[in-house]
Amino acid sequence: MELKQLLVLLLVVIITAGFGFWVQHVPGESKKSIPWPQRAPFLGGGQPDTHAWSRFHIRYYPMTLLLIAFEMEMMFMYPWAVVYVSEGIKALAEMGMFLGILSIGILYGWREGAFKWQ
Amino acid sequence: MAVTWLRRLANQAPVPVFPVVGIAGEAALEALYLSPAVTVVQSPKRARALAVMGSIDYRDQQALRRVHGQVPAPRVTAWCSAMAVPQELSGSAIVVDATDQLGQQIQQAVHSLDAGQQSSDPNLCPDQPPAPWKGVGDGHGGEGMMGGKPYGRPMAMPEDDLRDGLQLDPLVFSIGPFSPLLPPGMAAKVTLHGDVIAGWEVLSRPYELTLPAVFYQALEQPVAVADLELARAAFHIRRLAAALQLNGLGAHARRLRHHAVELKPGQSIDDLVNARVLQSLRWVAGAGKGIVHDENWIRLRGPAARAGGDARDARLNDPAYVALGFEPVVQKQGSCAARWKQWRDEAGQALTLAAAAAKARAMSSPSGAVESPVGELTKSTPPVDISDLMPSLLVGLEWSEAMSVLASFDMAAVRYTDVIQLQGGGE
Repeated sequence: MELKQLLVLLLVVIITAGFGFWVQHVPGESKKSIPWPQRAPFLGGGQPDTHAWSRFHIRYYPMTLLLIAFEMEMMFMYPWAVVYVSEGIKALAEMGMFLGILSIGILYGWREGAFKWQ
Repeated sequence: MAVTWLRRLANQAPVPVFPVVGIAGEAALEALYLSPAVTVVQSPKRARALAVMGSIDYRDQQALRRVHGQVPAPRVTAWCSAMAVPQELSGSAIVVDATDQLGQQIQQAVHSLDAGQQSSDPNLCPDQPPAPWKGVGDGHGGEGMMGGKPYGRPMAMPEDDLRDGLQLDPLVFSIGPFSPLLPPGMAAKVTLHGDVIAGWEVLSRPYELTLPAVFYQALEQPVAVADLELARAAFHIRRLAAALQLNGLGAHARRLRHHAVELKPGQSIDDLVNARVLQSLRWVAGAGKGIVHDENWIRLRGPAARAGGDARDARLNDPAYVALGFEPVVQKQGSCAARWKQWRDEAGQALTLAAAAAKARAMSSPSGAVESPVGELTKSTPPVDISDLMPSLLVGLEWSEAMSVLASFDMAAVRYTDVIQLQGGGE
């Protein structure tokens, strides 16, 4: 029985992989590669002077950090709420410490202007 | 049977066309916008055909080749220009003389291409990397985190960011002369810090602008004031359509362009487009920017000057306009939104004036100066180029704000001498 299940699974893997290879290669036979002039960015006849691999400030970065901070808080709070009654004061103290540390992160985000959408 | 039916159905769809506008190509571009057979697109990568309209300066020929190479093959090139067709395209490009036939002929040519009756344009650019790999080993080709010349272009070196003083990489590129975001012929070297413009150097000035013929005629002979004002209103409305298109309101822009060709004296501007649509331009990015200060202020002319409170207008010296009770419309702020409002108000005023002038059969008096839609047009000093004002206005703005500011100015000089010679006038 187990062998039969494994064989079915193997068959599914082979069919899926085969379909993947077919999709990747068969339609590609008639597909021509994109010529070089079309790989350049459209600048109305102009050209880039520097390589496009450059570091710039992602303006929404502090806000994403803040979102993660709140999200992590919720991830901890759900299981905490389940055991809160049985654990009692110990659970309350642990959550207090956690929220205290998190608040420092939020205050830091505030100072960095994370609440101001630019 | 079904395939034939489907092909017939597909052939009814408008063909996407990328326009390359040269000197005196404005009328052909407008005809292209109005043609139901084509859709004007903002990037050659979305196009099936390239339409070259007007004369292209010799120094921009290489840029034209690059744009041509960015239209995916199989493609069609339509040539609506007094210039000779490049030798490589002579066998495949379609030459169109009548601008009103341009859209139709492009559609037919693309259908022939799809049916295999016509061959695609050859490539004008070689299919080779424009800047081949020159790095050392893997990675970016330099040492550490910076430097090197991967693909022949140097890596950016960090410099102080304009907005928050961080050490970040600037992105340097040249844009134009055939970018839909800039006037035809204008090219600029741009330095970007993220989306903030840190540098704007004008590499080439825009091509000279050709005004509607009636403004040149008014310099030489009396013309009906109604005709002058209808041409003025149509000019402003087309510019407003371009501003709407820039802000993503393509359907309103298309409708406005169609209205501009069938204007009637006395029509209200609110009948042409929902007033709230034009009012919404007050809220777009950059609406409050683009204010010209200090000594450069005097260089603004026409609607741009009046949008900042300067009531100079050559029509005040024309007895016909005085008799019609003409008073220039002015704004106060001199910002991008004020210039757009000025165009709207002047278009509305021109339609009212046209109705009054048609009733009184008013004729203009040639006095050596005509107020054109872009400023005072005289025989000695037609409006000159002001694209050199842009660096001081654009540096520090975000990209979207800068594009709004660019779209609110009349930067190009006005063609005069050769137009007058073509019309058989002049002194």
